[in-house]
Amino acid sequence: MTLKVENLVGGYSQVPVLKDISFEVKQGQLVGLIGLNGAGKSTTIKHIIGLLQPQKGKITIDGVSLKTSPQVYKQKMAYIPETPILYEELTLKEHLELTMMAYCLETKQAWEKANKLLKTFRLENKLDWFPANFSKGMKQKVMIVCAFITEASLYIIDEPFLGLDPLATKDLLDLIAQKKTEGAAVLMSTHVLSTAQEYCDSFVMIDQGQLTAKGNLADLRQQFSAPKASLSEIYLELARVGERNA
Amino acid sequence: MLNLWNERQSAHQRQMFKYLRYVFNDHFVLALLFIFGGLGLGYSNYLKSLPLHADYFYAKPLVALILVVTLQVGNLATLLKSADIVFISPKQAEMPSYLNKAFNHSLLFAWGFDILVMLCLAPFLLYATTFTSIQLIYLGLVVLSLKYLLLKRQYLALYQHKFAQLSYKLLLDVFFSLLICLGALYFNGLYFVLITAALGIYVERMVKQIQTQEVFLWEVAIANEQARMLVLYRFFNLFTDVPFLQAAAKRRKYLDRFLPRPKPKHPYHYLYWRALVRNGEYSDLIIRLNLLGAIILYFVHEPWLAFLVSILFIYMLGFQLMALYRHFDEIVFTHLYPVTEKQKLQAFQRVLQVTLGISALLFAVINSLQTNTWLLGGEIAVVLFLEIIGLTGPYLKSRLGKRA
Repeated sequence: MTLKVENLVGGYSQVPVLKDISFEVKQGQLVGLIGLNGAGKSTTIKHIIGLLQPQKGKITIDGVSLKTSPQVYKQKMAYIPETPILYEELTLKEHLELTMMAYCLETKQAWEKANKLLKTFRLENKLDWFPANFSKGMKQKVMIVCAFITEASLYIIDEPFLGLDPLATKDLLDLIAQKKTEGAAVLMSTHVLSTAQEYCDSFVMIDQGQLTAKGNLADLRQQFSAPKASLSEIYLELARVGERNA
Repeated sequence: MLNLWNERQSAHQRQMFKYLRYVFNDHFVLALLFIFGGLGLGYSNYLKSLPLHADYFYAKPLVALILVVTLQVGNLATLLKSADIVFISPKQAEMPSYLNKAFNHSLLFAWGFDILVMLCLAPFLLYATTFTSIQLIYLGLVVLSLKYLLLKRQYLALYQHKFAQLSYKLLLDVFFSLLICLGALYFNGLYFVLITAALGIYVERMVKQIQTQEVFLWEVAIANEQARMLVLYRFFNLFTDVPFLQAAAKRRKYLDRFLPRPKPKHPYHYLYWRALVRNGEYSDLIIRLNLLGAIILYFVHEPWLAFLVSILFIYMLGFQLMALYRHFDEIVFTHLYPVTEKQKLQAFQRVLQVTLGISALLFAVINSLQTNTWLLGGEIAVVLFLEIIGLTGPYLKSRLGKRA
C-alpha cells in the first residue's frame, strides 16, 4: 500500500501554492508532514484527499489515481481533519452507521471495532447524543473512531493532537502503530515535533510550497549537517533559512 | 464604553429596520390594518354595549391578569456579543455605565409598550368598573414602576445567579406583580405608587452595591442576549431568510422509528431524511407550508382556485426544499465517501418525491372533505403527482445544473 505524490503543482487558483512536490508514503510507514503555518501542508492534504485537482503532477494510491477510478481511490483512504467536522443532525451512533454505509463495511464486524474504539476513547455511553455539541477534544475522538473503523489502507491525519487529552493522544498513537503493523500507510501533519520525532518513520518538510527536506531523522541530520540535532532544532533551522530567503 | 453602546445601538437599529422592511411588506401591512381595524371596531362596539360604571366582578381580575402578562414583554437588551468576553472583559470596571445606558434604552421601549396597553385598557376600566381617571393614572404609574423593577431584576441577574432562578422569576415577575396590580385596582392606587417607588429606590441602591462587590457574569449576560436575539430572528425568519439563524438540530427521538435504517451503499438516503426531520429550518418549512396550504384550501370554494393553490404550494415547498441537496456540501467527508454524484441525486429525488407526495395527498384529502366528493380530490391528486414528477425530475436537474 503506497501513496505516491509526483511533481505535484497545485493550489486554490491559477497561482500555484505547491511547487513541484514529490514524496512517498510506503506500506507500514508513518510519515510526518512538517512545515510552518501557511507552508502548504493542508493544501497538500487537500490535493491528496481530492478536494483540489493537481495542476501538474500525479497522486496515486497503489497506482490508482482519483481521476481514473475515483471509487477505488476513495475506498482506500480515511481522513481525520484538523478541525472536527460533524453532521449537526446525526447522533454519534448515526455517524458510525453512516461511515459503515458509505464505505460498505460489514456491519457486525465494523460494530465490533467501533465498540472497542468507543470504549478506548470513553464515548460508549454517548451513542445517542449529537456530537456537534461535544467539546473539541471529544469531537476529535469521534473523527478518530469514524476513520479507524474503515478498512482504509491509507490514513491522512491533519494535526491530530490539539485538544486531545494525554491519554487519548497515547491511544491514538497506539492505534496508528497497530494500523502500521497491519500494513497501512499513514501521513500525518503536525506541529508537535517531539511526538513526531519519537513516532514517525520519516518526514516530509515543506516551506513556502516547496519541499525542503525528506527522509528519516538520520537523513535530515546529514542534510543539515547537524549530527545530534533534534527534529525541533532542524525545523527551527529550516524556518530561519526560509525567513532569510523570504 | 459609552461610545461602544452608541455604536452597538445604531448598528442594532439599522439591522432591525432592515428586517422590519421585510416584515411590513405591502400585503402584511394591509392584513394588519384589517385585523386591527376589525379588532378596534369590535372592542368599541363591546364597550358601547356596557352600561357606564357597571362594575363587573370579573373586570378587575381580568385587567390585573392582562397587565401581568404584558409586563413580561420587553427584556433587558444589552447588545453584548460573544466575542466581548475576550475583548471587553478587561473593561469590567466600566461595565456599569454601559449597562445603565442599555437599561435606560430597554426601559423606554418597554414603557412605550406598557403605555399602549394602558391606553387600550383605560376605556374598559372606565366603563366596566367604578374607576376614576385619577385612579387610572395611579394604576399607570404603578405599572411603569413595576416594569422598572422587573427590568432591574434582569439587571441584577447579570451579577448574581439567584436572580435568574425560576423561583425568583415566578415570585417577582408574576406573583409580586399580580399582587401589586390587584392592590392598585382594588385599593387606593396612590399607596402602591409610593410602595413601588420606594422599592425602586431601594433596588437602585442594591444594584450600586452589588456592582462594586460582585463580578459581572459575562457568560450569563451573553447567553441571555443571544436568547433574546434568537427570538427576534425567529420572528423575522417567518418573513425572510435570516443568516444568523442557525437552527440547532433537534433530537426528536420519537421520530426515530420512521427514519430509514442503515443500508449499505445508501448513505444519502439516510442523511437527507435525518436532516429533513431534525433540522429546524426544513421541518419548520414543511409544517408551515402544509398547514397554510391546508387552511387556505379548506376555505377555498372555487375548484379552479383550489387547483391553483395546491399546485402553487407544492411548487413552493419543492422549490425551497431543493436547498437540502447541498446541505451537506460543507462537510468534507461527503466528498470523500466512495459514493457517486448519481447515487446522491437519486437519493435526493426519492426523499423529495416522498415528502411532496405526502403533502399532495394531504391537499387532495382536504379538497375532498371540503367539496364532499372524491372527484375533485382525485383530480387534484393526479395533477399534483404529475407536477411532482416534473419538479423532481427535469426541473431539479436543470436547477442543479445551473448552479454547478
